[in-house]
Parts: sequence; C-alpha cells; structure tokens
Amino acid sequence: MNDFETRLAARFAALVDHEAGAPDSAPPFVPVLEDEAPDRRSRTRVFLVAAVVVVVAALTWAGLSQVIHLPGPQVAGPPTPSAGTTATAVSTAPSTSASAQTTSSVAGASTTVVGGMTLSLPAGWTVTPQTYSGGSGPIPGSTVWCIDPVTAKGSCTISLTSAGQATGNPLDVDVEGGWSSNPSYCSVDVRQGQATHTLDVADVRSFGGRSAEYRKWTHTCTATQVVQAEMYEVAYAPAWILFSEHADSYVSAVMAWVAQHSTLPVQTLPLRLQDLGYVRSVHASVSAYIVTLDRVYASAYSTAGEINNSSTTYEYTIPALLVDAAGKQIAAPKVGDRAFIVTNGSAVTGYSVRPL
Amino acid sequence: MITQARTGPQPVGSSDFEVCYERYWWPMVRLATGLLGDRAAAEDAVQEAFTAVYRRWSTLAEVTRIGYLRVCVVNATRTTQRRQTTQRKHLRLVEDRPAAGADEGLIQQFDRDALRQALNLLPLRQREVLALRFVSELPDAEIAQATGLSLGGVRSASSRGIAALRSSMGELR
Repeated sequence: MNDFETRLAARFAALVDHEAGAPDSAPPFVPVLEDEAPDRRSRTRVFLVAAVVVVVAALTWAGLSQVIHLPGPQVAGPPTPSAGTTATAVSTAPSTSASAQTTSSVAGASTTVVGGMTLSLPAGWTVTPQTYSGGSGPIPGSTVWCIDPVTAKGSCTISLTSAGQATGNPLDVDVEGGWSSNPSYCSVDVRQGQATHTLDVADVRSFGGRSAEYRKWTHTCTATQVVQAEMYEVAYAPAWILFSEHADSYVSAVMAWVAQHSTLPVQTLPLRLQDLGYVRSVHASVSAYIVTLDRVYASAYSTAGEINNSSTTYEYTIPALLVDAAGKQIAAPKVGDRAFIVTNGSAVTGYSVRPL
Repeated sequence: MITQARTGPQPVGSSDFEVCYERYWWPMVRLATGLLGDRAAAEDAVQEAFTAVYRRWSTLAEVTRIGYLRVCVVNATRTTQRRQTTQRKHLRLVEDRPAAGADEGLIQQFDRDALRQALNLLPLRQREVLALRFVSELPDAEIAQATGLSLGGVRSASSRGIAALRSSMGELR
C-alpha cells in the first residue's frame, strides 16, 4: 500500500465510521420463514407463470378475435424485439399510435387514480408509491410510483413520474429517465470498448391520451448483461414520464398497454418544457429574441449524434435579460445555434448552446 | 439472540448461526454502509443477507459460511443500489450542499462528502472492491470470492478505482 492508499484507507474508514455511527450490538434476528416470504427464485417462478398466463390469454383472445371478428378492446401487444445489433435503427417520423400496435386483450385490468392520472394496469400488475432510503429521493417537486408485477411489488420494474412543479432539473426527452443528467450504464468492470449502446427507436407516441416522446435504448454491457431502457415522456405541463430499465418484450408490452389505456391530466400550459434543436431564424426586439427552432432528437449513441428528419420549426421567445446557471447574461441567440431550451410552460427560463 | 417469528423447526446448527450473527452483524453493517453510504439501508441489506444465510445454514460447510455471508451482503447491496440507481443518477444535478463555513467539523464534513461523491461516481464493481479492501480489509482472493471477479479483475478494479479517486480528490494531504 503506498502513501495515497494509506491515506485513502484512513479516509474511507473515517467516512464509514461517520455514516455507520457508533458500533452497535446486533438487534434480535427474526428469521422470515419460507411460507412468509418466498425467496427470489420462488418469486421469479410465480412471476414467470403469471407472465405466461397473461401472454397465453392475450394470444388466445387475439386468435379468437381474428377468427370470429370480435371488436375487442385495442391493446398494445409486444413489439418486435430489437435486432440486438450495434447498428442504430431509428424512426423519427411521428407515428400514428395505432400503426405500431396490435390488438389483443388482457383480462382483469385495474384502474386507479395516481396524482390526477387515471392509471390502468393489466391483470397481475400493481402500483405503489416509490419509497426511498438514505439520502436518495425523487427530483424535488416530482412524485414517483412503481409499477410492478404483484409478485415483485416495490421493485420498480416500471417507474411512473409526475414531474409536477419540479424546477431543480430540466426535463430531457433524450436522456434515459427523462431528466437532464448523465446516466451511466454498464458500470460493472467492463473493458473499454466492449460495451455497446444503441438508440433503437425515437418517435412520438400516445401516452394517456397525450403526445409523448418515445425512446428505446439498448445497453449491451457484456454478453450476459444487457440493459433495455424504454421511455414515454410527455414534455408539456403537467409532464409525466413512464420509464423502465427492464424493458424486455413483456415489460415493453405492459408499458404500451399502460400508455394506451391510461388517461393523463390535460395539458395546462402552452410551451413545451424542454426542447433541443437548431435555431433557423432570430428576430430581436428590445426585450427579447424570437427564435424558430428546428427540433432534433439527440442520440449520444448514434454515429450522427442526432436525428433530424423533419423541418418543422417551433417558435420561442427568449428574454434578452435571461441569465445562465452561473448568473451571466446569455449571449444573443444566433441562426445555426444548436440550442437547448428550458421553459416553465409559459415562458423560456433557460437557453444554452450545446454544440454537437 | 434469535427470535422465531413462527413456530417451526430450528435449522441445524442454529446456535452456531447465533454466534455468527452476533459476531459478524456489525462488520457487515460497516461493509454495507461503505457500499451504500447509508446506515439504515445497510442494516436492511445485512438483514436480508443473514436471512439468506439462515435458510442455507445447515447446508453450508463451516469454512464457507462467512464467505457466503459476504457474498450475500454484496448481492443485497447491489439489489438496493439497483433500486436506488435511477433516482440517484437523476439527482446528480440537483444535490445541494450546506453552505461552507470555517468550522473544523464542517471541513471534515466536506471531506467526507467529497469522498462519498467520488465513490458514488465509481463503477459499482470498483466501489465494491475498494470497500472490501479498505473497510473489511480483505485480501484480494477473498474480495474475488465476494464479488465474483477473477483475481486479475479485482486488481484491475482496485487499481482503476484508486486512480479515479486520486484524479477526482487529489492527493488527500
């Protein structure tokens, strides 16, 4: 151990002493018997059986519907699994919500109201408020619920977030989780270059009756460790995010089902809460710059770095006295800026240039 | 001290388990705290680990019990961290710190905060290796057993973790 390691060991020990507090004797050990809390393997088994039952029921209903032409409820079926290659296959054309969906049926769906949203869940799934331990918690002002199979309650297989009045972090529809941040996948000891990350799908889909940015990512860390992330993000107030880092075909189908059958509160404010794109025009007045923005989808995982298949522009009014995070007045927007815009729904509150 | 939650057969060798529990509970809480940064979450993870060990106690060879316990603790902290990952990584931009002051206690607090923050930015395996090395003071072979890494993997993760901490925290004078 060299000097640095010796000092680090001492600091680490001091840190743990502080965080763990004074040494304690062990509290009484209360063994939980098998019949009270099935072990993970049992839970997984129950979950798999439940999953198979639901899928078989859905397929049976779909088959029957085709044979006897029943006008059954429109339910999202499992999408075709991604090819699993490292190539980035992206569709940016806004899709009609029906085009990518099949019909089937899930019996025994339940409906509940969470945070003003009418949430529909397929049979066998449940929703609970997310609990936090330690220093972690939701983005201030937001509320998170966990959507799980009833046999894995609280695991947060899918998270449902009401962004509420959260102001600490801007939303970001191009980041896993839906907030501006720097999520790191493949944090295990993966050799550099071994992991691959792909943005599989980027388009617009319906979530709770509102238009949502839809993204699907695949992070292949090792041959056996693959993280599939999927997100529906409604970027207008009140903003909602449906997100999973366990989005295999089954979970993905459940998310699609939830997105299609639930109802979100209606949009209350006119401006999108976050946008990214190229400034195509600027009109300056005494107090503001009116810019038109050509929206792009950012992808840290594609070779191009972004996708822009539409020339539609969106107008924003940037206050001339707007300051950046450091309190410095922003530079005047210019045509060609790759701009990241944040709003409070009514007015622009942040403008920064993010070169590709 | 074992309290049976329900009547039922005691596992074979449960008195040995009791000794193990009382002896290793605190060291395991320290290890889990080193990994999670939170005492309450650490206690939950350790309870989960001891419960797993309790179920298999009679089938575990005596020499393997502590190693198995350590694996269970590391696995339980991984589960806890997976649950916390999303909210923590998305909180990175909004974490606030108390205002700075000249007080010595505050300076120490900032040192601790800086180390915890630097540790949280390390890949999970590097953090595990460093905690097992510096908190539990285990040799590389036992770290390998607890983490499922090869000996080379342990040394590599340790070296990279230390280099990353040195880079983010300086020389720790």
